[in-house]
Amino acid sequence: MHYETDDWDSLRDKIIGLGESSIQKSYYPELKKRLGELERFRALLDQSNDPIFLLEISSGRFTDVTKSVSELLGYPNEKMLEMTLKDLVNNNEMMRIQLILNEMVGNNESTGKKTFSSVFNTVDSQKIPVEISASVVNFSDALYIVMVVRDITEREKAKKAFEESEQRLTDIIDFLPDATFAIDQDGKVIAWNRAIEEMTGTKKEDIIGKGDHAYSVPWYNEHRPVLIDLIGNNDSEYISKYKYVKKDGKTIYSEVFVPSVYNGRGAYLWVTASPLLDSKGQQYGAIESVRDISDRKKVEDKIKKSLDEKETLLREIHHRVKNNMQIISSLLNLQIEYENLDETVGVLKESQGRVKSMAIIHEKLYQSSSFNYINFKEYIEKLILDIFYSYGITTSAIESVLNIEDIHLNIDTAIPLGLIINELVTNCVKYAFPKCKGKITLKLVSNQDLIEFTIKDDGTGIPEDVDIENSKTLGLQLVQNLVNQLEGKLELDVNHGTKFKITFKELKYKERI
Amino acid sequence: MDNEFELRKFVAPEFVFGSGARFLLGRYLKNFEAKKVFLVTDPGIVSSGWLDEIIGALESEDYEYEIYSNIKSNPRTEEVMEGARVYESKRCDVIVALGGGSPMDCAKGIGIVTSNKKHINEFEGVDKVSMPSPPLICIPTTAGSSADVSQFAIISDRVRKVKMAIISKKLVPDVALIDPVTTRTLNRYMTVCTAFDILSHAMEAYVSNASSPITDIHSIEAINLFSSNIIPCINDLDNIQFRGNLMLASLHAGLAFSNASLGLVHAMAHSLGGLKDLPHGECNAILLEHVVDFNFSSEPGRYLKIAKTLGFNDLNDKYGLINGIVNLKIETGVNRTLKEIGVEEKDIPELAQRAMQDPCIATNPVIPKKIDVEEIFKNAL
Repeated sequence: MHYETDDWDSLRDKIIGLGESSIQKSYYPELKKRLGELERFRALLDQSNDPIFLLEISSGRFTDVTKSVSELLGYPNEKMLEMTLKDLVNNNEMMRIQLILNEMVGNNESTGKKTFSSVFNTVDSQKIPVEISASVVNFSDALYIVMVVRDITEREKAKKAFEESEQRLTDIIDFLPDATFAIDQDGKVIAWNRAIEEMTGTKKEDIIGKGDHAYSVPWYNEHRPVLIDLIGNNDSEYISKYKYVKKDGKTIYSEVFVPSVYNGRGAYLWVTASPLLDSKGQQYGAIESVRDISDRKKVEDKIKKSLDEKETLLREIHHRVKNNMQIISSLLNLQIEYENLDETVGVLKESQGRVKSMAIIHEKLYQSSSFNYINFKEYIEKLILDIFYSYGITTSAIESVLNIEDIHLNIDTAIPLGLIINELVTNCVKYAFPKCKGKITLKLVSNQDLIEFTIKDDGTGIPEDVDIENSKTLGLQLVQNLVNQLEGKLELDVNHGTKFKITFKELKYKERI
Repeated sequence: MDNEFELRKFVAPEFVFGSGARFLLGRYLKNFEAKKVFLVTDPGIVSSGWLDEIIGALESEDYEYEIYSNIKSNPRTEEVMEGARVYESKRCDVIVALGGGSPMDCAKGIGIVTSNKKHINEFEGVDKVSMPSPPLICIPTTAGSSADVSQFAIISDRVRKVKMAIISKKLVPDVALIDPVTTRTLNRYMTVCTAFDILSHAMEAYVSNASSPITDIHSIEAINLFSSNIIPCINDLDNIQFRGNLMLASLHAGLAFSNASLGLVHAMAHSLGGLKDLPHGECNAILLEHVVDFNFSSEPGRYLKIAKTLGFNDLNDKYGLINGIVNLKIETGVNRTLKEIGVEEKDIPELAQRAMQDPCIATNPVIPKKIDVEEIFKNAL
């Protein structure tokens, strides 16, 4: 090193201890700083809500405690330093904690942290549940246990409240009238209520926690998928096991007969399965409810049977009405055989035609499925054939053109309309074609609920003096009355042959009081 | 001495001696990173003007400070405790003692009370202090007490009427800034009293059963400097040369007695100071030749060396030394007797009893009996 003259003076000053920073006890500021840091750290520790204890292993005494210790236990900190853990816990607890601590100290070095619960007694003998995090530390060749203690009174309360609330929920599921069970995402049973115990004979404790479709065994004696497994699963093999499966949103419904339940008595079951979703919509399990609908099923069967019986009866009635009318018609026919007067024969024939037009309605009714409606197109075709046949008209002589919409009419409309058509067609074949040649055109169209029927012939036409509203002939009087019954409108056009037009609405079923 | 190389230890503070040493205070405060200075002094120093000079220096360097000057000579326990309370309440962190033995001993007491959080009485005796004081810087203004380098503090307990000796290495100040200039304002009486303090310190350290080759050098040099400067100084009080030599003598004596300790003179003087509240230096001076008379036969060689160093060459025996001391006292005007300063014969058993309990007895060349001490007191009446 090289020194200038000026440097020598300053160097000399420093060597003899007169330099700016020549001081023997220079550690003091550093010491003060460290002490300040310690005090600050101490204050920081004191701010911790969780009390911290330093327990000297050799003496068993607390050698240091933070401020919150006295807040928790009520002892002044100086008093705490004369105490041991024994002063804070009862004998049994002490033995238990001693074992835990011995194990930690046994290895004679830090073995990480152990957390355990205990109960501390305060200065006024209150009991405080605490959670203790203990670790072994080595300060200056002495072993200590650092215990960070947390007052878990509130947590225990919350836990208890939660358990109670959970118990209530379990109870609610338990006492649900419908047999109910639930599974978690792994298919393990997490709930199995009393109703299902009763239904299956399987006790809750024997099934909770079991997976691998264990819940299907009480029903089917085998491990197999059941409805609950169909959630989010469209496997047709699963679905085929059920009579039908209906999905509504995330819920699946089905009905099934299970022979093994109720000790082999068997039952019709209405099964509902839904996913269990958490607040974020994530599925964490599924729940299935099973309702015994055997009783309802019985009632349903009874109703169905009774309905079948009534249908049969109704069919039989229509059949008999038709047969009876057929008999009337045959009697009239027999009568005709014995009459010589054309006029009488004509009247009888007309009457016979009227009876038959009604008989055909009953015939069509008992052939229908509903007993309320008949196919009117088929009816008209049959009616025309019948009229032509009874008046010995061949289709080569008078051509009938049917332009009938395929329409179903109820009996209240069909009978008057049938009679009207019978009158008008009979009238036509009797009078319109003296030369036995011509054409009848029938047309039936519906427009919304308005029905329009037209019958037109190219015959001689109705005499002009005929007043259809005040007709003296039975036939036309009948027509007029029947149109009124239908609450319809009758129009007559005699410009080219004869044309009747009836406009009406289908009569609604009239309540018969 | 049976064994020339008995174990000995020597403890001294960092000290700076010389004109202007007091001006290094700012530098040391900076090195200690002082935030607030606790300045212990006494009313005499306040009126002498030295305090103003120190305050000026502190203010020019922007140091905050708190002055504590409520101290009588022979500082008392209550003054120490009050000082410690002020120190803490004002959140001071460095102590500066400015003055003679009283403010320095008081400052030492305040320091250990604040760091140990105990009453000053609990430190009475030897090695009773566990924690050293906060940084303590001493600026002595008398040439005599040497409290600025010693491990001693003497505090009066007016309840028990005793002067407690507190002896601990932890009482050795951190820094002594020994500036002879500060002694210039001492009057003649105080100069003589403190000078006899130097002599008694040096003599007792030299004959102490704990003296060592190192302390001997300081003792003899202290006696030498005392001897050659005391008369010139009191005849020329403004002479910085004589003042400086006496200050140097005080430093040597302090280094010697702090490590070799003292003897009967101080044990008895503490007893007198405790019971009668008498000035320390004059007590020492009154007792000095009477203790020599008692001790001489135990360390004749060392006492004769002292006599020679003091220049008492007429008689090479005990009486040569005793006469020399008596003559010196007459010449300097501190030749009162105990009776003249208020001690009565009926006080003697109590005084002797208390002296026997003083730790300074332990290093006297011979351990006296109580009756011996009573006899010495009687001789000094």
